[in-house]
Amino acid sequence: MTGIDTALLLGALVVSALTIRSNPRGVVWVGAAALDFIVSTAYWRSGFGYPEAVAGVCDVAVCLAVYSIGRQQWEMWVWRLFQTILAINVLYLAGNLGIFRSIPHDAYASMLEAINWLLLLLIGGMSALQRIGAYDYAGAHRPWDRLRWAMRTLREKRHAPAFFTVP
Amino acid sequence: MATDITIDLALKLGGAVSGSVLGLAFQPPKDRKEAITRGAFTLLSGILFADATHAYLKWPDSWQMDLAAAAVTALFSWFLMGAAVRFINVWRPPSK
Repeated sequence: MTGIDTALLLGALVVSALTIRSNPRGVVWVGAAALDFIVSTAYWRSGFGYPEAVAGVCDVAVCLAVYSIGRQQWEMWVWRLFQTILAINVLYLAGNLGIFRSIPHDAYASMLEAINWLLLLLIGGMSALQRIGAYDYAGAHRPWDRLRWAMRTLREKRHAPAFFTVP
Repeated sequence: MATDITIDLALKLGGAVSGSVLGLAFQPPKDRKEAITRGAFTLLSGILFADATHAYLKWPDSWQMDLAAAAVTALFSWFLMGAAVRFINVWRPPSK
């Protein structure tokens, strides 16, 4: 395991610890992201063929899970982030097959790393704001009042229900 | 032992399923009815038009490219059909 992997997994642990009380579904998505990361990285380092395709399969599974189970707007943002990871994996695979110009591996890894940190920031930030009560209307004098709009939007019920619930 | 046709069909089916699932992950349908219609349409398109896509894009001949052609066809067929339907609806024959 490299330093970057360790930092990301430590970040996931910290966010899980922050989130576990206030937002249990956040822990589920952090766990899913960590599992996705561990499986795809382990497969990559094992040296078997088409690791980006395996990473893509893991991403599709997480994407569909978030889309199916997600209830609030922030989860739809998590879903969008996983869609971005999936798109990067598909483009990288297409580049390696010679369909497009191939993306340098460092750029690919950096993009995935950045999105993983964004994901942790989104879930951790939501939980942190929830813990300090930034969504609560009582106490309008507090300095984080401006965050209320963002918090209210993120905590809203998702706008479009999952397709299999609509006949 | 599997024949060439069976392998070819299996590759196309695999590619079409991959393309359909990718389409589902990127742009989910609105309801169950659309999901069924879209699933059937993209699967059929992926299987039927994979060779045409492969030839049109002039990709090299390999099993990976067969799979990719079916996936790309299945992924984009629904959007292309939507664009075609919109174009047909917008276009009106000149009035006499």
